[in-house]
Amino acid sequence: MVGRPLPDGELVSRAKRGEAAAYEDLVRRHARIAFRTAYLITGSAADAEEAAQDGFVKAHGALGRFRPGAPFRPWLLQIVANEARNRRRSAGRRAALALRAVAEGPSEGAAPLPERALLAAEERAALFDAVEALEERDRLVIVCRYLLDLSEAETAAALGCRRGTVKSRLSRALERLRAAEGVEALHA
Amino acid sequence: MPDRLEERLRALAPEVEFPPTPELAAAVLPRLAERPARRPLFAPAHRSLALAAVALAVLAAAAAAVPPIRDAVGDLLGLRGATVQRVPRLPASPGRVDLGRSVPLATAARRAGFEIRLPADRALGRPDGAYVRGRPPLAQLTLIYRPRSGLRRIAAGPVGLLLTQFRGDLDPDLIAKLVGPGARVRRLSVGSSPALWIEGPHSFVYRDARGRVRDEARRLATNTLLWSRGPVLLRLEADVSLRRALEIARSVR
Repeated sequence: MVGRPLPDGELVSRAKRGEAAAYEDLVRRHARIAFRTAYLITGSAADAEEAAQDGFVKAHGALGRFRPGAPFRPWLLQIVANEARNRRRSAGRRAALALRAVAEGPSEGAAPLPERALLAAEERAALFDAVEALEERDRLVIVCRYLLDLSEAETAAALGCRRGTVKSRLSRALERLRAAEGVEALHA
Repeated sequence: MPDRLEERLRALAPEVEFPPTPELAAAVLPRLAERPARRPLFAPAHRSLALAAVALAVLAAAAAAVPPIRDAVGDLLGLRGATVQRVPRLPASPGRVDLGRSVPLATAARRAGFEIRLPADRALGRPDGAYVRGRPPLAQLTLIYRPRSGLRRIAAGPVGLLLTQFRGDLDPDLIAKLVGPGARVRRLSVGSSPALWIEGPHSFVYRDARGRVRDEARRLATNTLLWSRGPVLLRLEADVSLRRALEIARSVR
């Protein structure tokens, strides 16, 4: 029988006692979010990989400072984000994101997309374009909160600002998105 | 009027493509300490300095108080780049295996700044990972082999054998091996190169790119073979017999 996966807190306690396998589980569990967060900050997959690697190594060395009972992920992301910021080569570099390709026309052997699905895909593309058109600060907070599904605290850690700043930046960014969409609608 | 914007943004998430997440666990695990520090000894910014200070103190103590065997090693054997010093006590080690950064084997030579030497030994096979620490010309390259039959685990992570390579021709004191009282050192040869076989407690200090002496801060409970091939100094660490270590060393191309 396969046991239920252990909660982060239990894995952290075991890792503190020197169980490499417990820390390996933590790395596997959080590798993706750590890498993506670092990628958003550095804008380069190679730099993000280094930042995430170094972040996990540093977090392990600092487990003694980790407050028992606290959530592990925001703490980890803060360390990874710091590593990522140290590697950011130029402030102007933006992490390239793309929407998953949707087949444009019926490809060989595949049924054409139903009209509704096509419409939904178009709407998604329009929303994605609107996010991409935001200025970088607004775009980052939207991507962290909704596309990476980070909590407010995690977003603050990733962006290196206070939670209050995340809140205000987020509501401003949402307003701008709404405004952009409104303009689109008028032109439609 | 609620416009479901937040909901639509969340629904967008699975459609957005990020670069593929690299395999982090395999790269991170060999770099971990045996056990994390209970509380930080030094603030992070000063930690490496503190380590260097410890290593320097140990070196100074060794030079002053202990008849070194480094002359025999450095001069008689001409093993360039390495010195060996017997010390009464090894520096305390946090046990972390600091190998530097994980790099693809294909780019390792470029990052290290010298041609990599690979063992052709069949039973050993291909390395499972490559790490580079520092920058050329004083970079250090480490090939990692996972534990397997005949290769017992020697560190906290999945490490069965480490093969480290340096440019040994640049600095006669690039790495120094500190040998504890219980250790045994034998002089041998690998091909035409002088070699050293060390069994028992020992640790390394090394000189970084700025010339500072740094504690390598690791203590592997294992045996070490040091030899050179051309300008490159090689160090093999594994829990294997001298015979097996020599087999692997002689297969290096």
